[in-house]
Amino acid sequence: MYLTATRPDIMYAVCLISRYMERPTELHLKAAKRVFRYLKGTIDFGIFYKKNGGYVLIGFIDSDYAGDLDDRRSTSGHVFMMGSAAVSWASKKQQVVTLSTTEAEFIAAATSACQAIWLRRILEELHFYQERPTVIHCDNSSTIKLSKNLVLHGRSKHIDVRYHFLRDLVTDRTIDLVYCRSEDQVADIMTKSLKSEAFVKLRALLGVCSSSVLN
Amino acid sequence: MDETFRETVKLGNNSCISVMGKGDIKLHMKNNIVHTISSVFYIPDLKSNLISLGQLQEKGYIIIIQRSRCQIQHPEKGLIAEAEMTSNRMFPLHIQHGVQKCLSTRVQDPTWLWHLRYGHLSFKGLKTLYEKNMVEGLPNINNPIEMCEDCIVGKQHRDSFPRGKAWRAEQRLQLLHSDICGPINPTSNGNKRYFITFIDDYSRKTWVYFLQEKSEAFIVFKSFKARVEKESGKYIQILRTDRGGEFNSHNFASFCESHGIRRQLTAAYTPQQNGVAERKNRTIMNMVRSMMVKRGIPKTFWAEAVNWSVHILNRSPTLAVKNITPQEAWSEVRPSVDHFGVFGCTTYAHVPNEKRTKLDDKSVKCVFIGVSEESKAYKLYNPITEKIIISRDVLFDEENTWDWSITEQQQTLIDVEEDGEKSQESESELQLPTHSLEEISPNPSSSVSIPNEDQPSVSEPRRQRTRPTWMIDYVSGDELSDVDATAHFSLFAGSDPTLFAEAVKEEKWKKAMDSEIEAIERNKTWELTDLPKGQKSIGVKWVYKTKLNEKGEIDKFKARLVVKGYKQEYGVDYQEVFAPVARQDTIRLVVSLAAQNSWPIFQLDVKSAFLNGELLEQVYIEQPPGYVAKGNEHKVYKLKKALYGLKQAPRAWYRRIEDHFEKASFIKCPYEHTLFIKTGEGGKILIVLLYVDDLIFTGNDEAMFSDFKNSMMADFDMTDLGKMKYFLGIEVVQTGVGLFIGQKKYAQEVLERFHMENCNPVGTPTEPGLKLSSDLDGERVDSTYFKQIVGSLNVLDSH
Repeated sequence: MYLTATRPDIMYAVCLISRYMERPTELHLKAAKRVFRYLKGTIDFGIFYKKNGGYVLIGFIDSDYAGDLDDRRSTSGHVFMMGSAAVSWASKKQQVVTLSTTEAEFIAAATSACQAIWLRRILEELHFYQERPTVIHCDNSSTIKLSKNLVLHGRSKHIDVRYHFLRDLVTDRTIDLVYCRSEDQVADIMTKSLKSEAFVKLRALLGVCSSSVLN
Repeated sequence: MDETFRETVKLGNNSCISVMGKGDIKLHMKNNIVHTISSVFYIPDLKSNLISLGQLQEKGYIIIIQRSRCQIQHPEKGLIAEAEMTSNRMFPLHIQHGVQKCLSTRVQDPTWLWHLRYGHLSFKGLKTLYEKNMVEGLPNINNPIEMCEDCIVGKQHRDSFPRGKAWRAEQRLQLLHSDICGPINPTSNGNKRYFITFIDDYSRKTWVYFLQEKSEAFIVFKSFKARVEKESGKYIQILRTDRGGEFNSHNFASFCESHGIRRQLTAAYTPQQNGVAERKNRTIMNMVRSMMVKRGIPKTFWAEAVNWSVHILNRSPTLAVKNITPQEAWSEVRPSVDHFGVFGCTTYAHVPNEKRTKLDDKSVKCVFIGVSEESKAYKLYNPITEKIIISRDVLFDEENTWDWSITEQQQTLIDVEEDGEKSQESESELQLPTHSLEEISPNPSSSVSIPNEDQPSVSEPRRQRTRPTWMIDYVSGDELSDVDATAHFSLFAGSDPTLFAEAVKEEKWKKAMDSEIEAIERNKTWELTDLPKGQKSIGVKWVYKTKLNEKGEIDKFKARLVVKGYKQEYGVDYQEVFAPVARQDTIRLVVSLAAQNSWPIFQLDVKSAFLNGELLEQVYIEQPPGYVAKGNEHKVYKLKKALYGLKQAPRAWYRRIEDHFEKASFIKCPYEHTLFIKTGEGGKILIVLLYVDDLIFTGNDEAMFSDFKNSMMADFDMTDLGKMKYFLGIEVVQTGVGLFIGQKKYAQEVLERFHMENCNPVGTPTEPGLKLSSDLDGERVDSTYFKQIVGSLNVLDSH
């Protein structure tokens, strides 16, 4: 297993440096070293799954906009929580260039919706039915409106397909896109280099903490 | 020390050596505390000093050997020493014992001091310099009574030949003398074997360049020409050299011709005609010898010494120019000598604030080897890091000399170390091997790259791993010289054999192979047959491994027969190879559900799992080495079950266990093929998650647990690991309040692998607001190394 198996807090950093594997420079190495230095200070951190946390799957999606300085693609991030802590997460550069934050968030939402379906099915097999649609939190209200509204925009095909896919899932009540404030957006940690304060807050929300909680 | 004490010590080979005394040894710690080890035997025949762990523990010390580290702890003071295990499983502890010092007082006398600073220049010369006020910063010199021993060692000569009167140049660069000196053995730190001097006849100023080969003389001459002509505004008119091939080449001749330089070549085998250059070489070498003898500097530093000598000689009186030094004659500025230090003396270079933390030492101890050409700063050598430092902020301790015997010993060990373990770390800096030639100067404001002519160049980066501050007193770890390493190696079990021919000689490996064959036979893995026509047989080989238990002790010797699967052909020898493994998300989902319900999670491990897989394809293998059936040597084995190394082995195993689950009425999760669920009446549930030969299971019914375990035990050779504690490198703690998963152990290993275990921690994994680009202009680093870093943190999702 690799380190990110129990460390969603370094997921974005690792995803970021992994983009430069073909032609790394001192700059990238410095960023990689920073991850090590962070690990050094948080070596005994992991995820704590609390007893009686509930079986409802809750999702968070976020995207930066055109964060990659080379090709101007955005980074999608999602986190799925079960009870007190994260069970599934991802940080990934999007495959296509988007023309607005709304579009970028849309791509992120569509990707995370696929993961939501898969997680719901597994839970079902394990006899933990998700009776209600899986709530996915998003801090972009335009994206939410678009997912519910039938208004079609003159979008190119790759957006259009995702648009219909997401809208179908919302319509058949598999997922429910819900607005949340940016500061409560856990998936922020998967898409941005956060300031210490925000980082520590979101890390705690992920259920990541020191093993000393057990003592 | 009690020298009357006598005793003998018995060695491993039953031989005895005698103890010649007994006494106490004082150890100097950095914080000026002196520890004493009492009752130390003095055994002159013993090469290494041994410390008895048994006696230490008798005295109440605590010794912990774990994770390749040996720690000695004092019951009250805590950790006092730590040694890292070397490749041959030794724990070398390097300690600094107090060296008895005899201080020489004579350097305090300015006459002697300046004699030394001036590279053992004659007292007469020094007097001339002072009296004629030829340099700035020199005090009055008295002729001492004693003789300088180093001068005699370095300068004694035969009586001179009579000298004729020669024509002298009237202006700068009108006549140049040049000669090559060398080859000098050993080669310098920068791998140079020769030096070439250019002497301006008018000023007698000397320039020196270092060469690897004589043929480089031409290139050097061109750059020298450009430099001096630019500096003086004059042109070289005559070049006087001997008839060495390096000056006589066609290229050299045509270059001189096209630049209007007249050549004066000596008659063959008459170096006397090139007197000025030859004499200068002798003066330089005399000075170098005297300086190096004095300070016991390793001979490889001759180039630095030559450089410094030339610097001095340009500021010394010479008979050829009256009342001024060559430097002044050349540049028309009176040189200052207040920057002079004794070559090879100890210095302390200030470490700039940027490079250290509050409690770090404010200076590093170095050796003075000259002044920088490029900047107004001293050139120092740090024998510990083996780096040249250019620093302006230097304190001299001209009385003391670096103890090179210690450093030289360390030098060898660093060389040894490089084979096994590449880059070392300095603080949190993590550098790549590709940057080995870049020196890090501790003072960025005054840092320059090292002049090309001679750097203690470094074939490989030699970085120092910083230990915690309290460990600095101890040099511990891999610091055995190569001699020691071989000497001690025989004492210890070597590594596992790689060849059958080696292993078969040892009883333990023979036994291991016997038991592997036995297990294969018991498992009904194969049958001996003739090879059908048109079929190919695949080779097999033995692999050997000494298995250690969690305490690092030898557990068992394992021999495994493997098939050379890389010789298999797709479609012929195998069809399907894919075997699913559980996704991380699924593992966490199961773990999380178990935690919320307070269900226990158990873990089982299937021994030699792949041997259970039944093969669908016809696979024939050769008879294993050492176990060829007598009288049936031409026959081959037809495999019924899989062996390790076969391409389809993982698939065959998966098919087998899937079958087992199906028979035990589990339902395979259609979305995750390694997840099996069994339900019973009243909401009873058993969840099994498979990861190749490891599996975990959880649920809400005790009876189902034991049923499942028993049925697995009946079908397969299993290890019951009890409650899940360590699964795929993830540490699991199951408690009443919940369940914690972490990877501390793995993270620690990763930090150590990249030598970051002592780095300074930070609060966030990325610099806040950081955005990266492909940084096309940035300094490239080794991409393989970078990939290893990323790979240790994460494997990229392919989906």
